[in-house]
Amino acid sequence: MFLTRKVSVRVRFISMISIVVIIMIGFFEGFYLFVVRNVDIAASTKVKLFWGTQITGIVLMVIAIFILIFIEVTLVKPLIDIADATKAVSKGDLSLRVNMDDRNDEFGVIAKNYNKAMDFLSLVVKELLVTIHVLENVGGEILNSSVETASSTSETASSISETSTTVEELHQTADLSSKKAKYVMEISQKAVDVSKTGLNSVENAILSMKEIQEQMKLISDSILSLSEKSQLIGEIVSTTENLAEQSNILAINASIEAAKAGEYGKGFSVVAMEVKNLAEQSKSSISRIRTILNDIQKATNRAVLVTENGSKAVDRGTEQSRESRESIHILSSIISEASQASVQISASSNQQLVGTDHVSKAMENIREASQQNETSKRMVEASSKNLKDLSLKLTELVEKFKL
Amino acid sequence: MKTRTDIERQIFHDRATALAQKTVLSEKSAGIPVFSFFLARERYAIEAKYIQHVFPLQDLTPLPGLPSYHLGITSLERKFISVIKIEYFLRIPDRSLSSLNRVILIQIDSIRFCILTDRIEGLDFMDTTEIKQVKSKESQTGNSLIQGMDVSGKILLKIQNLLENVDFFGGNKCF
Repeated sequence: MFLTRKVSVRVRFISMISIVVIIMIGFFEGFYLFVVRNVDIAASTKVKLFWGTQITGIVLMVIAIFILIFIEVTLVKPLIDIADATKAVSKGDLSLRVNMDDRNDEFGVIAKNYNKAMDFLSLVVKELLVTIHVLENVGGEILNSSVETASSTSETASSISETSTTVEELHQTADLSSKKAKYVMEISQKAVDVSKTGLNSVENAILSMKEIQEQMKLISDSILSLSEKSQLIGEIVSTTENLAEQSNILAINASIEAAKAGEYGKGFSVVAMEVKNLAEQSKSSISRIRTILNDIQKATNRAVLVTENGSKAVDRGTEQSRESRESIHILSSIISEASQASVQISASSNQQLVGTDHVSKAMENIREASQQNETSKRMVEASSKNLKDLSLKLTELVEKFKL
Repeated sequence: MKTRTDIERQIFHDRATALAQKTVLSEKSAGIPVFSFFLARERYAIEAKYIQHVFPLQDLTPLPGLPSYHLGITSLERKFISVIKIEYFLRIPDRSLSSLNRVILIQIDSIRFCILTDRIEGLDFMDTTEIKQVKSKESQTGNSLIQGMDVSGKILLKIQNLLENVDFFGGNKCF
């Protein structure tokens, strides 16, 4: 029963008992000496001794009181303080300190160690609180980030899906481009061959045009010569016509003279008439010759003009053939460059095809990674939620401490 | 009063009527010798007795102050001869000259002059019995150059009437 009491109570009780015992010893010593043992001393001395013992008892009582106060101050009070402090600690109040700086005994050491422990514990709790707050914030941020990441992940998944479709289309386009480039390469190669053939044909055409030009020059010279001859013939015909006309007039005049001669001139008149008829026939023939000659001259002139035009046409043809040769030459160069470019395009298209294959596979990997990210994101989201809950619990726990 | 155009139309009508009539050929006679030539694509004839010579138009010298029918003068056998455009009297429109034109030297009595033709045909004979009278523009004055026209359409000129209409240099009718 006694042991269940507090130490302070027990100390106080023992102190009180000790003092009472001492006082009682003091009082009973005098009483024993003077009353019980009946020491033979004078009455006055007895009174004096009585009072001396009483005074001694009172002094002892006073001393006992001082001892009691001393015990209270030096033992009980620190114990109570320490007990109160530990009680507060047990309730989470870490702000309470035991002030025993002036004591160097065990209580002072206990108080110092207690205060140090509380300071350390307060510091730890404060830091823990700060850390929990940080943890809570981090958890919240992770949660927000995971939510944002969820949206981004969904967008990324959608983009990856679109990109995959685009890459597939690009792959098909690249495949088509590769085939077309190959076709263009073959066509351009044929075009190169055709342009070479065309160049040879134009060269042959130029040679032929040169031959035609020479032949046209010969024809032109011949026609000019023919024209000159025709003019000479025309002059001769004119002379002959003039002669025929003069013969005609002469025959007419002869017939006039014959008529003047009357009967004697009839024979001459007949001759003159015949001469006139011959002259008329000559004129008629010359007229026909002139007509034919005019036709020949017209035809010759036309032939000259045609030949001249032909020569000009041949010149133009030659010039155009040369221009065509230059154009075909340039065209051939361009087609050759185009052919080389088509070969490069074909190679590039093949590379593009391979590249799109790689991109397609990479997009597949990215899609799988995105799915994994989605799973990881859900896990992170759950973990961050757990972390936030945990931080809240820790906060609740730590906030129980009073600093 | 008939206008000039009406007169011409009447003349052409009479000519066409004359040509359209059937001709009863009489016994073939030698006729008179005439000299035939062309003017404006029409055949004309002059009695051969007046014809002296035929030659091409050359060395024609126009003279100032002469009537429009007087072309000028030319030289023949060292004599100057007047050249007359009888188409003026036949109302044939003016045409340009060319080297094909022929000139007929005519002598009537002592008067010699030339007339210009487009082309000459030569000596021929015209039956005077077949010659029909046709009206001409000059017939109104009574001294028409046209004597008549045969069945072939050849017009016989009465060249001596020309002397009454032509003034050869103020009375000097012949050089």
